[in-house]
Amino acid sequence: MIDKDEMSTSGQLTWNVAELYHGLSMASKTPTALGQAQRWGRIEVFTSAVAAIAGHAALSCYGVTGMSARGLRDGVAELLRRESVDRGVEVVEVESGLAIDLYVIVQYGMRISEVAHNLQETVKFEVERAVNVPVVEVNVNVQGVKEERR
Amino acid sequence: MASRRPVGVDGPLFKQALLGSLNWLAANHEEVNRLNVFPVPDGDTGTNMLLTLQSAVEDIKESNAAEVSKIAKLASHGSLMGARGNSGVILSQIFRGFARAVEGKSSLTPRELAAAFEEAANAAYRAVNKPTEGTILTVAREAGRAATTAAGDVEASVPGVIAAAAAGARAAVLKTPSQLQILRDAGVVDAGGFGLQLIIEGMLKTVEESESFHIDTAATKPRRSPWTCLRAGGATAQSSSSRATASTST
Repeated sequence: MIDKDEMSTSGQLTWNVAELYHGLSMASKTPTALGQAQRWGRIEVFTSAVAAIAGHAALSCYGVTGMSARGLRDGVAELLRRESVDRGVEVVEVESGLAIDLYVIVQYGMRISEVAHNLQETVKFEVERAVNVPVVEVNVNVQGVKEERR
Repeated sequence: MASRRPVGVDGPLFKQALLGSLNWLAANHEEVNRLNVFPVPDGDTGTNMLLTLQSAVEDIKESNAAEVSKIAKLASHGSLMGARGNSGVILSQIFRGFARAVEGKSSLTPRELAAAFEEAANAAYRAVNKPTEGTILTVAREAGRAATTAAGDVEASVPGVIAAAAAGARAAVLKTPSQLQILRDAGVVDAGGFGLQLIIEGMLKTVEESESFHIDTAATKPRRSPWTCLRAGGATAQSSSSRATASTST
C-alpha cells in the first residue's frame, strides 16, 4: 500500500508504480492519490497547490466576497488578497481523499446557508476535476459578512 | 397615433406578471435542467430557479397590495429565504435590486420599469467579485439595457419595455456560448440565463394578455426554441452558434 517513508511533513504522498497500474479507479481504494508515479517519473501535487485551486474556485462563487485567514485576528476576520487566497484554505489528506476547510467572507443580503452549499459543490467539483482525487469533505467557515459596495 | 391609456405597472399587474413567470418557468424548467453544465454540471438549475421563484411568489399570492413596491418587496424577501442553488441566489439578488429600485412607488412608468430592470442586474453584479460573462448575469444586464433603450422611445409602453427586455435576454442567451468556453464545448446555451429569459417571457405573456394594454402586435415576434438547435448539433462551436443565429432570424 502506501509507502510510508515517502510521506513528507508537508503532507504529500507518493505512490508505488505497481500500485498505480492496478488500482486506477479513483473512487475505490486509492486513498490519497496526490502523488502518482508515471512511467517517466513521479508527479506530486502538494496540498498547498490544491489549496490554491480550491481558493480560486471559492472566489468565483456567487456571493463570496473573499477568503479570510484561518482563525480570527483580534476577533476580526481579515480579507485576504487574491495572491494569498490559499491562506484561507486548509487541505488535509484523509483516508479516502481530501478534506477541505474554507474560510470565507460572504456578501450581505444573501441566504448564507445556500451560498455555503454552492461553495461546497463548486469547490468539490473543481478540485476533483483538477487533481482527480475524491474530495470527501468541504467545510465552510463563514467568518464575516461584508456590506455590498455601491 | 392610437390613443393608449398611460398604464403603469402597479401591484396587481406585477403580481400577475410574476405568476405568469412562475407558470412559464414551471412549464420549461426541465429544459433548463438539461442545459446545466456550468459551474457544476448537475442538471438542477431549472429546478433551483423554479423553487426559488415559487418561494418568491408564495407570499404574493395572498397579497392584494395595490403598490408595486409592496409586491416587489415580498418577492425579494421570498426569493431570499427560498434561494436554491447558484442561480437561485443570483435570482434573489435580482429581485432585491428590483425591489430597491421601486421602493416607495405605487406604479411604474415604462421608464421606471426599465430602470428597475437595470438596477436589478446591477445588484446581481455587485455581489460577485469576479463576474463570469456568458451567464445569467450577462443576460440580466442585456435585458436591462434593451429595456432602457425601448423606454427611451416617446411611444414607449409597458408591454413594449418588457418585450424589449425579453428580446434582449433572448439575444444574450444565444450569445452565451461565444462567451463561455464550457458552454461552447457542450453545445448549449447558459441554463441560468435561459431561465431568466423564461421569467421575463412569462411576464410578457401575462402583460400581453392583460386587458389594460393595447398590444402592438409588431412588437411580439413569434418565438422558437433557441436551445433545441444548439443541443441538436452539440458538436462544434462555430456550427452551433451559426445555427442558433439562423433560428433567431426565422
